[in-house]
Amino acid sequence: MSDSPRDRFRAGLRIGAGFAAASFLLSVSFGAVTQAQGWGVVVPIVCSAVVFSGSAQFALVASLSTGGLGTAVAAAAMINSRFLPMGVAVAGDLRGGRLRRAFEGQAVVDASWAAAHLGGGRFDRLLMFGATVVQWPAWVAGTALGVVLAPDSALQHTLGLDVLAPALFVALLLDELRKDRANRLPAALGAVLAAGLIAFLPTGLALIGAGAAALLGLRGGKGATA
Amino acid sequence: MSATTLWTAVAAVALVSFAFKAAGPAVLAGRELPARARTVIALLAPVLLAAFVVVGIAGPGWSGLDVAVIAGLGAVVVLRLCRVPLLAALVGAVLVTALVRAAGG
Repeated sequence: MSDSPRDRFRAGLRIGAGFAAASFLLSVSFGAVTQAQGWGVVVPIVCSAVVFSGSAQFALVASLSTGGLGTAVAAAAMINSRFLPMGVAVAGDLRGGRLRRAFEGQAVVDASWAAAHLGGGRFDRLLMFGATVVQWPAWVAGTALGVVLAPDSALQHTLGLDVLAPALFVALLLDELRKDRANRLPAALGAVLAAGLIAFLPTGLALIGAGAAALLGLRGGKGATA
Repeated sequence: MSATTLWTAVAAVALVSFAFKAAGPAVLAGRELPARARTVIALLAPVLLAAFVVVGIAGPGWSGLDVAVIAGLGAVVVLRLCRVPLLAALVGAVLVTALVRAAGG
């Protein structure tokens, strides 16, 4: 990368602004959902600040309303277990000692991680930081707004807001597929595995199982192109 | 649901998420992985994103299938291929989904 560190961080902020707008709307619906479940005002906002993961938070609300504490935490944890391989992926591009790397790894959120992927398993650390830094306040502020407004879920459904999260992932996937042709077959296999596994497994486990499609990278010779 | 249960759940999920994100960077520290492992890791992004999309469309046990959502996602693909900026493409997806729902009653 020839750009200066500041330029890369700023590029991250710019890219992250789009993600932030999407996460803002998503977090409004999270805040709203918690009100229907009697979470009160403070807990949802703190939850967004410290967990900062839409899919896990939605899973937590849904499963706490139907099951016990253990089940709910396990469901959210399984969804976030994807951060383990994602953290391994960025590990080589982070800086400092173990403790600092552990904290730098907290910048791994789905959209930032995907946007920071330069191809070939290399990540632009500063771009990821920039993209995450703008999403966090948007996520917390959106949650607060959702708690205050508490729009009912029927309204959000009517407005089509539930399409935001998968739409963001579709856009990121498209970028990956255009970045490198070698990504296409593994992505297709991942989709097929996810389609099969989600039929009988919880979301987190289905995602991890689908991640096995990345093992296609073990086929000899065809190394990743950077 | 008691306040204690809520706070415990939030704290537990926050700690688990922190640990998942911290483990790889802390354990691997600066060591480079072998080339083959790097190739596999390079494929994780496209594979997981494809899986997110499918899981998002299907929902647990294939209970979430919705024509309006699929139409919205189709709109994102078309808009992004036409080089429409990300945020505008997302707004387009929301509009298409809302319109299809309105049309379907």
